[in-house]
Amino acid sequence: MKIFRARIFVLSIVAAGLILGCTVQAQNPFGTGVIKTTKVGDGLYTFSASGARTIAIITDEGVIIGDPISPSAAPLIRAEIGRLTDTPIKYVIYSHQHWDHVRGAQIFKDAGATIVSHENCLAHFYNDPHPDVVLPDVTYHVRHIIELGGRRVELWWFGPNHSDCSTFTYIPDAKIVHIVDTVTPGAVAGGGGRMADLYPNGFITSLQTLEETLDYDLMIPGHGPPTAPAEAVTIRRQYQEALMTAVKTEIDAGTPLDEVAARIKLPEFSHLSGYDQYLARNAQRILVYYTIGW
Amino acid sequence: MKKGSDCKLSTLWLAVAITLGIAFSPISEGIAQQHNSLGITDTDVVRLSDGIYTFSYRGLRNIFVVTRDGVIATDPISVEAAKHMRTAISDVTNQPVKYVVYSHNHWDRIKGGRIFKEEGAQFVSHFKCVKHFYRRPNVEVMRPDITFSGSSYDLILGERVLKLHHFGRNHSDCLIVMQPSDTSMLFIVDLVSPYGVPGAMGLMNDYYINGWIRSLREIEAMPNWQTIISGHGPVKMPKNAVTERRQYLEALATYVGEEMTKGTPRPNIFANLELPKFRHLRDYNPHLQRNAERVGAYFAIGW
Repeated sequence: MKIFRARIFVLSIVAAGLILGCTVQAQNPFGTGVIKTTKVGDGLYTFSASGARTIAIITDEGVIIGDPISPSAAPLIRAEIGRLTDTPIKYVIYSHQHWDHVRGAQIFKDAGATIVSHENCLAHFYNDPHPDVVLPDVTYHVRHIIELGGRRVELWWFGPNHSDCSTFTYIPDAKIVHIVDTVTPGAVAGGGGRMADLYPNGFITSLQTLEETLDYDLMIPGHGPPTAPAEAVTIRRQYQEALMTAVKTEIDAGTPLDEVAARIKLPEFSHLSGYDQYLARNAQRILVYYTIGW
Repeated sequence: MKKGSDCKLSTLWLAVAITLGIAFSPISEGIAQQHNSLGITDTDVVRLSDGIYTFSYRGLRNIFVVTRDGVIATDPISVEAAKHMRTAISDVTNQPVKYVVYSHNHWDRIKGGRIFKEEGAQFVSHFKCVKHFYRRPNVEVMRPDITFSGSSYDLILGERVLKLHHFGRNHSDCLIVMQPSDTSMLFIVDLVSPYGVPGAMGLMNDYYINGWIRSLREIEAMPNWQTIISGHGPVKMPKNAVTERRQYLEALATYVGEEMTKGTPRPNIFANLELPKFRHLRDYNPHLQRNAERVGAYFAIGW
């Protein structure tokens, strides 16, 4: 039954992309690289470039975008938006502080955009400055609402999860939430499986709060398909819970610490991408958490 | 976790440990001494100099300072370790424990302080640890009563000073190196592990590569010290262990940085990695690639 449900889930991820998405692949007129643009709702697009994914919400008075991704991706994103609307890009929303998502905003800043992030990102930007990362103009504490051209976009911070400054961008009129890295649909924890910047307990709490707070049918991830069903969030949370429970059980049973990771098997999640490759590393990461609190 | 990684004994380390064990005799008869198959004691106390002692429990080591007005203890390690440590302190003095100093925020070092709290000890950490205690609470970790936010703090008790040095971010962002007055010793936890590459299964989750290298340089440049009391492993290590760790990290960062700049595919960077100069280090083989992947993650995403 679980396998059947898992197959249905994978098929629904594909179907969600096919039904909702009208994907266009364009060559970058300003440099190297390719961008894939997918329409996922009225005035709502997702772009995939430089290995990451971002969003654009188009209104009559301007555009709100997600991560700029990189200096090579940002001009592609700008060009694609220019193809879709004449209105200016008013806001750039950083999903979190990691450089694979937030470099390259300078061209939007120069054109007058306001850059927004969660306040916890500031410490990272100051401690680990990067020449391609532009500091945010606006930060928020728990929730920040942007109203532009009759549309409402809500930025939510549900505590530490993948990084301590992750913003989940919610578009209520589309019932879609943009979640970067905390959930990559149909996959175990990535990043080489190491999950270096992770808050294991907060991760579960964050996703539970998200599931209980927001009314959404689809998510747009920061990597992977254009959209996935809301169930992707639940599955990722359940994987995290199962992983933590399994590791804690081994520790409590007195299993030698260097044998714990190899003993972890979670067959109910074996359909997830990266299961064979990363499960042991995911388990080691949780083992580190239980032993040193990090 | 450290027990399973940092504390695996290479032949070299074992030899050093045995040598140092001969040089520094345990002073406590009251502590149960269990021996593992390698002959290394589970619990051990060594007098380092007048009023300065080191206590170890299953491979994790701390120091305590006995003064005429009380005792300064450091990392209680765990509930079980703290009980043994309290006995060890009682074996050398009737003075109460007045302070417990945390080296940093990781639970493998600082659980178990309650028995000291109950006798009235005040807990000391760097200010930057506080947020970790709130974000990742643990019922066995006592919150600090005293914090400092600068680069150093003199903890004065009786006739002694325990100088606390904070070098910024390195291994965690709140680690302090401790220097007992009138000695040439530094108590260093986790920045340098005995004759090995970085442990914690090589994952180096809470590490800051640039700050770590800089911190080690600053420690090397500190005057008036010669010997490391390490948070794991043998009683003493020579000063040049700091230099060797720094050189290892520099070699690692240089290699990964150069390969990423060249555009070498990430899997190839790590698969082809060899640092022959450091092949003698404990855990070189299981951990080198993971250490490199961790450095690569920092260069790629800033973490």
